[in-house]
Amino acid sequence: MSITLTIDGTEITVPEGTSVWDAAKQMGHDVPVLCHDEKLEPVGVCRMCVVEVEGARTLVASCVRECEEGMVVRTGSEVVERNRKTLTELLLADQPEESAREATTGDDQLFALARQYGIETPRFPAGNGRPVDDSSPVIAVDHQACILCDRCVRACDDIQSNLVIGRTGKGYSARIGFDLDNPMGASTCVECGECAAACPTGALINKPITVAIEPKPLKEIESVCPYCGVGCALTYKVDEEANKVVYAEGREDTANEARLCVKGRYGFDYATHKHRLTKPLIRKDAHYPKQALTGAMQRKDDGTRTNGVYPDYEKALGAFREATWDEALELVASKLSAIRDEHGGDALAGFGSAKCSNEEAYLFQKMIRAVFKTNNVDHCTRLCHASSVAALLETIGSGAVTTVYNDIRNADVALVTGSNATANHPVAATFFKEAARNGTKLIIVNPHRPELADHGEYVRLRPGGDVAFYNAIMNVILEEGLEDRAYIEQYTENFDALKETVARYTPEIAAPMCGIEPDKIREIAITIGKANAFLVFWGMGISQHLHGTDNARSLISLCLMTGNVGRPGTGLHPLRGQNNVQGASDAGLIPMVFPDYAPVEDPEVRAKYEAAWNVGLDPNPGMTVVEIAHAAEEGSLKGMYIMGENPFLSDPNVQRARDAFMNLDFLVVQDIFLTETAEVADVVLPATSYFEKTGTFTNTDRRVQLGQTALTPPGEARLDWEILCDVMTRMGYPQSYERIEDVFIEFSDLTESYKGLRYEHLLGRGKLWPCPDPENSEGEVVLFGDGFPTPTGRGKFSPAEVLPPEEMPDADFPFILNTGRTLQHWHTGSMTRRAKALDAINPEAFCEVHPEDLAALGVEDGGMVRLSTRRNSIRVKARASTKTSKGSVFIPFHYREASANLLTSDALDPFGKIPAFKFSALKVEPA
Amino acid sequence: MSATPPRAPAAAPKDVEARQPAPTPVAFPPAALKDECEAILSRYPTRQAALIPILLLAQGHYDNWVSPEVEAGVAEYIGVSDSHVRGVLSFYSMFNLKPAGKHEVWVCRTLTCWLRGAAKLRDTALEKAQAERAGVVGEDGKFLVKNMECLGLCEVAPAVFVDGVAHTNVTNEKLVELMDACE
Repeated sequence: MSITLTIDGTEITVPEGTSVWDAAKQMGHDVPVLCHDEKLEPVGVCRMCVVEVEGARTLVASCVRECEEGMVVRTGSEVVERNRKTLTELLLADQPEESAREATTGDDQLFALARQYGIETPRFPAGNGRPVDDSSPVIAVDHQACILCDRCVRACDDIQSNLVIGRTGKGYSARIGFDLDNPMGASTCVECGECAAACPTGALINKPITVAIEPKPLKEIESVCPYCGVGCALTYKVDEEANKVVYAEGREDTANEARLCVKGRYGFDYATHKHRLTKPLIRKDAHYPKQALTGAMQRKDDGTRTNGVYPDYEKALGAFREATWDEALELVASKLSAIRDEHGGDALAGFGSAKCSNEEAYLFQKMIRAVFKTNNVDHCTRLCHASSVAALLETIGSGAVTTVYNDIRNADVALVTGSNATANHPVAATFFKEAARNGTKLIIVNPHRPELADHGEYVRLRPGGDVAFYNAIMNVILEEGLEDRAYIEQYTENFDALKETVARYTPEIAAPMCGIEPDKIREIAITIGKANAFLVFWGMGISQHLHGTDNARSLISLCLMTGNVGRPGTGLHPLRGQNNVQGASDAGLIPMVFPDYAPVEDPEVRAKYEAAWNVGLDPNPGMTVVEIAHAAEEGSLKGMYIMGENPFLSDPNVQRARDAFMNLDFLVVQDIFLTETAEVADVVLPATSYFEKTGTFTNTDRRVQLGQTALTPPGEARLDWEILCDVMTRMGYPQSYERIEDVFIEFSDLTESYKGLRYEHLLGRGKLWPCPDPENSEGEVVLFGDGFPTPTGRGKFSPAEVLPPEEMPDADFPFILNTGRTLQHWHTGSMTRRAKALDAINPEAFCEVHPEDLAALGVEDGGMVRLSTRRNSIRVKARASTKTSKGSVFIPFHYREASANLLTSDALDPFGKIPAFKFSALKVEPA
Repeated sequence: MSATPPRAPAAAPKDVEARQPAPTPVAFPPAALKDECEAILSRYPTRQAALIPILLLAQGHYDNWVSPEVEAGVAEYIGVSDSHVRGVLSFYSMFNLKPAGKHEVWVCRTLTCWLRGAAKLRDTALEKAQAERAGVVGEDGKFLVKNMECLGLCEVAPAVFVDGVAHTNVTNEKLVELMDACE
C-alpha cells in the first residue's frame, strides 16, 4: 500500500511504513540527524531530525515517525530550526572545546551543526566532566564528547553482533560502557572499529597507525582487504607525500556492507615496516654450507622466544650481499636453467601463494609449466582446502562454493563446522550472528568451542569424529524419512551406496566415536532434515585431517540427500582461508590442473595450452606441497622458486621440511620480508606488497574484485609480475606485457569461469564467476539449481567410512593437539606481527589447555609448558581455557618462537594430499 | 565555546601484556535459588523480561549487592550480554553494585519530603550509620543510607524506607528508633 503526503509543499507518494525522514530524503531534503544512520534501526533519541507536522501536538522525530496519508510536513520551518539550534547548543555545552574527530578526520557532525547554526559559545553551563579511556590500542574513547546517540551500541550489537557496548548509569552520569563498564581495552572488545566508524562526534575515534590522522585531503584508493577469503571491499586513505596508508574504511554497497575486522581496519601498516626488502640479495660465499641464521630457526633452539617476533634482521642480512637486479636475475635464470637442462624439469618446483593476485598466480604457473618444464607447482591451498576441493570435484564437479556467505540470511538452519569463523572469517561471522538473531538456527560443531557457539546450538565433537557424526545424522534422516526423494531421483546418483554405508551408523554406534549422545544426534538430524533451506559452512577443522576428503564428502552427501543445493539459503560453502585462495586455484596454481581445473593429463586441454603458450608441456601431474618437501629431502628435487610463501613455518613437521629445503642446490625466494624461508635462500628478490600493485583477487564467494595500487614500492622492490616475466625471458621464453590487465585478459580468455571479465567490471561490488553478462549482471549467486557440471549432470554420493587417525594418543602421548589461528594474526605472522596494533593486542605465543588438565600438571594459568609430539617439542605459555575439551590442547601456528608445526605430522590425506594439522598425539609437561 | 570542564581522571590504562581477565561468572543460579528462578522465568514471555526480578533475587542472596561475578553469572543464565545487565543494574537505584550494608535506609529527597525536613533525616541517618555520605556503606558495615527520588508518599511526607518497609511522617526520633531496632 502506498501513502501520499505533502512535504514542504510538495506531494510525494511512498510505500507504507516509510519514515518521514526517508521520504524527505527521497525528495532531496537533508534533514539533519545525529543518532540516525540508514544502516541502523532508528531510535529517535537525539531529536535533531524533528519536523513540524500540521495538527501534531509537538514537533516529531522524523527518523522514527512513519508517513501517514494526508500528512503535511514542514522540515525547515522557523520553529523547527529554532529547536535544532537550541538542541545543538545544549549538546555543545558539554563537549570538549576541541573535537578529536575534527582534529583527525574532520567530520564531527555536531560541530558541523554548530557551524551551520553559527553557535560559538553556548549559553549553557558545562557539567562536571566525564572521563577519557585510552586503554584500547586502536580506539580513543572520550566520554565527554559522547552525546549518547546509541550509534556505537547499535553498531556493536546489530551490525557486528559483538554485544560489547551498552549504556551505564543514568542522568548526567549516563555513558556508554564496555561489558561491565570496563575500560575498552580490558573488555571483550575485538577492535573491529565499527563503533568508531559509526560515531558522529569525537567520542570514539581511531588512533593513528602510521602517520597522524589529520583533516587534510587524502588520496582515496578503492581496494580489497589483503587478509582472509571474505575479501572485504574497503577504501584506503593514503598520504601520498608520506607514502603511507593513513586509515581504512569499509565500502558501502558491497558484499561486506562496509563491515571490517581488526586486521582489515588496523593491520595495513606492515607494508611500510622498516624490514621491507629493498634490494636483491645474494647469499655470501662464506655462508655455505647453509645454516639457519637466527635463533628460532636453529635446531638447538627449543622454542622459547630468542629474537622477538621476527628474525634478527642484522644477523640474517649479514649472510647476504646486495646485488643489482641484473646480477640477481641472471644468477636465478642461469642456475635454474642449468638444473632444468641437466636433471630435467621435474628437478625444479615452485610454490606460488594465495596472497598473490590471479595475474601473478597465472604467470607463476605459466613460468613453472612453460619454462621450468614441470607441473611441480603448488601453493598453500594444499594445506587448507585441498581435501574439500577434491571431494567437491569428485561429487558435484566444481570446487567452488555453491552460494555466497551472505545467503545465510535465507537459510532456516545453518551448520558451521570445523570453523572458528569469528577469528578467521570475522566479517562473514557477523552475517552468521545476524542471521541467528533473525531466526536462522545455527548449529556449531567443533571440538574447540568457537565464539560463534554463543549464538547457536553448540555440539562438542570428539576430535576426528566427523565422519561418524555425519553418517549418523544421515542415518537418522533416512530412518525418519526426511530425505528429499524427488531431488535424489532427479539430480543425484549412487544413492544406494550411501544408504548402505550410513545404515551401519546408528546414533548408538556413532555416539562413542564422535562423543555426542544418540539423542542429541537425533535431535540435530531432525532439525536439519526438516529445514526448508539448509546451508553448510566449513573450515579447516573439516579439511585438515587424514580423512579430510571423507569429512567433506559427508557434508556434501548431507546436502544432496536433503535437496539443499541450488536454492537460495542452501548449499555448500567451504570458507576459503586466504584472500585469493579461490583465485590462485582457479588460475592453475595446482600440480594436476591448468586454469579452470583442466587436467594436465587431458591431451585436448594440453593442446589448448601448448597452442596458447606456444611451447610443449609436461603431461604428468606434478608434486604437491609436502611431496615437494619430501623430494627435496631425498635429493631428486634440486631447485625451487618460492613466491610469497613461508613453508619454514607453515609446513607440517616443519623441522623435516626445513632440513629438506636446506638440502636444495638452489633456492630463490621472492618476498617482501626476509622470512624464515628466505633466510636459507641463495637469492632473495624484493617484491611488492599488496598495497603497491594492481590485480584481481577472488574471494570465498567466487567474487572477483580489483585491488588497486595505493603506495609506491620501497627502494628497488619490483612488481611481482614483472620479475616473473624477466626470469622467463632470461630463461629463454620471452614474456612481456604492456600492463597488468593484459595478463588478466590472457588468463580470463583461456577460462570459462572468468571469460568476458575485464577490470572495468571489477570495481564496486566485483563480479561473481561465472558471469557471462558482466555489463548487466553481478554473476551467479547460487549455482547448480538445475544439475551439476559432472559427466552425467548428476551429483554423486560418495560414502565415507570411519578410519582411525594415523597416530592415536597412548600412554606416552596422551593428549590430542589441535592447531588453528587467532583473530589478530595471519598465518606465519610475517605480515601481522609487523602490524603495530595487531602485535600490541596479541603479542606472544600461547596454547590453550583445559583448566583441569593444567591443574593436574601443577601449572598455573599463564605458566610455561613443554609440548612434545613424536616429532619435536616446543616450550610455550599455557592459558587455562574451557574452549578446549579435557585431553585436548589448542595452539595457534603463527608464532615463530613456538612453532606449532614443529609438532604436527606430515602424513597426508590420500585424496587431497592435505596434512592432518588438526590431530597429533601430544605430551604436555610443566616447563 | 564554553571553557572545557575539568576532566575526571583517566580510566586505568590497558596493560596490553596482561589484558585483564573477565570476571569468572558464578555458577548461577545457586542450588538455593534454582526453583525460585525457574518460577520467575515461567511468569515471563522471554528470559530477558525476567532480568530485573532475577537480579533482585540474586542481590538478596549474595549479601545485598551484585558483584561483577554475579552479574556475569546472571548474564550467562539469562542469555544477554554483560553490558545489557550492567545497563539495567546501574539504572535502578535499588540495586547495589558495591558491597552494601546489612540494612538499607532510603531517604526520599524529592520536593515534598525535602520541604518537610528530609535533608535533616538523611543527616541523622548518616550520622547513625557512621557513613561519609549517602550511597557509601557505614564504617561498621551495618547501614547503607541512600538518597532516593520520590517514593510516592508525598501526602505523608517525609518518607523513609528501612529494609524495604515504608515509614511515613518520620521524625528524627522515629528514624533513630527504627535504626536502633535493626539488629
